[in-house]
Amino acid sequence: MNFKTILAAVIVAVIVIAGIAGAYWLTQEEEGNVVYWTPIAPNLQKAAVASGDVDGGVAWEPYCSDGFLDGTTNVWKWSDELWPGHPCCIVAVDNQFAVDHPDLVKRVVKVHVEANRWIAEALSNTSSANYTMLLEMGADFSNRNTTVIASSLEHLKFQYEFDQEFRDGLEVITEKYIEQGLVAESKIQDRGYSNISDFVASFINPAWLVDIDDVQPSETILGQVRLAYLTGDVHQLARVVAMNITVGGGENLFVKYGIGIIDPNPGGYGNGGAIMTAFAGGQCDIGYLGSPPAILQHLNAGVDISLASVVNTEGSAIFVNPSITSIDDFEGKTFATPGVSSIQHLILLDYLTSQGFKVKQA
Amino acid sequence: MSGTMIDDGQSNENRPPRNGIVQWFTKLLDPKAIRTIIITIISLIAFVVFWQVLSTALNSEFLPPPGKVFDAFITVFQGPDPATGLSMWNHIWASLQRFILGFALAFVIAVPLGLIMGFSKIAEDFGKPIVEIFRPIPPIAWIPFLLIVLGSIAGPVVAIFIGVFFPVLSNVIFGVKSVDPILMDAARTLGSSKPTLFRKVIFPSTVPYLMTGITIGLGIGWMCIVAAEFFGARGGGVGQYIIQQSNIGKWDFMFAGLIVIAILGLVTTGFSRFIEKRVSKWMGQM
Repeated sequence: MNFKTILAAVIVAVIVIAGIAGAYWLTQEEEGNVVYWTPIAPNLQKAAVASGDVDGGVAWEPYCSDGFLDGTTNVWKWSDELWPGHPCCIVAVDNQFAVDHPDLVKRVVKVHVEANRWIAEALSNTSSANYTMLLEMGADFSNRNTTVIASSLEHLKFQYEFDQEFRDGLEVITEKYIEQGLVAESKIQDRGYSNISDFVASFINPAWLVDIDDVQPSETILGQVRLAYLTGDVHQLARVVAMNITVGGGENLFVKYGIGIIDPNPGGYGNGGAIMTAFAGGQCDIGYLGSPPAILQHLNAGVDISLASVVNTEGSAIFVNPSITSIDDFEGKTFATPGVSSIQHLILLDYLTSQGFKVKQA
Repeated sequence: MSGTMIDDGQSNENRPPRNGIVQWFTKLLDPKAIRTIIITIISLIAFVVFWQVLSTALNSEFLPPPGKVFDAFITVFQGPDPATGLSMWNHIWASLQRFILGFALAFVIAVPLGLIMGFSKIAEDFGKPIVEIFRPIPPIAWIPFLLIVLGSIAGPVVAIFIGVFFPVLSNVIFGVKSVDPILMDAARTLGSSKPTLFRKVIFPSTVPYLMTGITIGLGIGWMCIVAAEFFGARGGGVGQYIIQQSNIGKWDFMFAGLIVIAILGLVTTGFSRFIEKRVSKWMGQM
C-alpha cells in the first residue's frame, strides 16, 4: 500500500468520522429545565410525533384533531384554554388593489360575511343537512374525514367583525414580536405609526364591513380577484363555503356577487409568510392568512396591505406524544411548531415560559 | 509545503528545495494571474454596482442595497438571533454537519458500487434499471417523504445523500468504462490478476471522473441541504435561517443567509477542485 492509498483512506475516514460525530452532536440535548422547539410544517407534525422525531407539537386545525382522534397524540391544551379569543386568521387586501377596485373588495368582503352567516347557521343545528355539507366541504378541502372536521369546528370560532378583543390581541402579538426581536421597535415609527395602538388601528380597515348588507348580487362578472389561501386550513372554511355551488344556489357566492376568482397558487400556499410574499410580488389581490405573518411582513418589509375582515379566532392546540402525562415530562422534550411567524409558535412559547421552562430551538 | 507533498516518493535529490509560499507568490505575480485577479475584482465590483443600481431603481424592501445586506451579514455573526437563540455560526455548523454526513454516506456507497457496476456487466444490468428510475427524480422532491419517514435529523442528511450519490455513481461507472483497453490488455499480458487490474489500472483511471462527480455532487448537495432545511431540520441550519427571515420579512437578513450559502458552496467546491488538481497531478494528468 503506497502513500497515496493511505492518504486517500485517511481522507475518507476523516470525512466519515466527522459526519458521524456531526450526527451524534445533532442528537444531543442539553441538560436543564429546557424545552426545545423545531420548525416542522403542521401537516407533517403528526408523523413526526408518531416516528418519535419530536415529542409534541403546536398546530392549527385540522391537524390537532387529526392526531388525537387516531390516538397518535394527546391534546395537552387547546389554544382557547391558554389565550381565550386569541386572534388567528384574517382577510388581507392589497392596498393598491383596494384603491383601484374598491367595489370588488367590498363584494369579496360581502361574500366572506355571507359564508360566515351560512356557517353559523349550519353550526347552530348539527343535525341539519347544511352541517353535514359543511363537514364534507371541510373534509374534501383538508383531506381529512368528517369526524376530524367536526372536532376541529368545536375548537375554533368563526367571526368576521373586528371586536375589541381581536384588536387587543393584535396589539399583544405586536408587543411580543418587538420583545422577541422579530420586529425592531423603530419599525413602528418607520411605517408612520405613532405607537402600537395606532399601528393596529390603522392596519385594520373596518370600512369594508360598513353597510355590508347593502351589497347586492350581480347578474354579470364585474371583475377578477386573485384570492390566496392556506392549504387545507379549516380556519379558512368561509372561503371554501363561498366557493361551493350548492351554497350559492347553483353558482358559487363569488360569482353570485359578480366576482371571478383566480387561484394564484392552485392548492393553496404553505404558510402565511408565502402569501405575504405573494402580495409583495403582485401575485394576489386578497388573501386569507394568519394575522402574525401579516403584521411581521407589513412592519418589517412594508408589504402594503390592510386587514378587511376577521376570519377566525382560536382553533389551535398544543399536543403531545401520549407517553407524556405531566408537565414535568416536558423537560428536555422537543416540540414542533409551524415557525416563528405563527400564532401557534407564540402560544407554545408563552405556555412553556409560564410553566418555568427555558425554551430553545432544537 | 504543498510542493514538497507533490514530490513525495520521487527521487528529486538534485532539485533545489522549493518554498511553497515563495512559489505561491511567484505564481501570483505572473502577469496572467494578475490579469485574472484584476478581472475578477472588476467583475465583483460590477456586480455590486449593478445590485445597487437595481435596488435603487426598484426601491423595494425586497431587494435591499448591498450596504444594508453587508450590515446584516456582519450582525448575524455578532450574536444569537433573539427569536431562536441560534447564531449564524450555529446554523453553519448544523448545515455543515448534515452536508458532510450526507456526502460521506454517498461517497462510501457510490464509489464501490460504481466500480462494480462499471466493471461487471451483470452488476450493471442488475443495477442500471433501478438507478435509471431514481436518477431523474430531483432529490428535493424526496424531502417531505424523507422528513416523515426518517425525521428531521436523518431526513435532510439522506436528501443530501441522494443529491450527491447519483453524480458520483454515474461518473465512476463512466470512468471505469473509459479505461483505455490497450492499458487493460497490456496489464493482462503482463500477468495482472483481476484484483491487481482493478487496483492498479481501473481504479486510478477512474479517479479524475470520480472527482468530477464529487464536484457536481457538492453543488447539488448544497441545493438539497437548503431545500431540506426549508421543510424542517433539527438544530437549525442556514436554509432554515433563510426561510425564517423571508417569512418574517427581514429581507436584508435573508440575503445575508444567501451570501453565507454562496460562501460555503465556494469553499466546498474550491476544496474539491483543489483535491481534484492534486489527484490529477498524482495521476500524471497535468
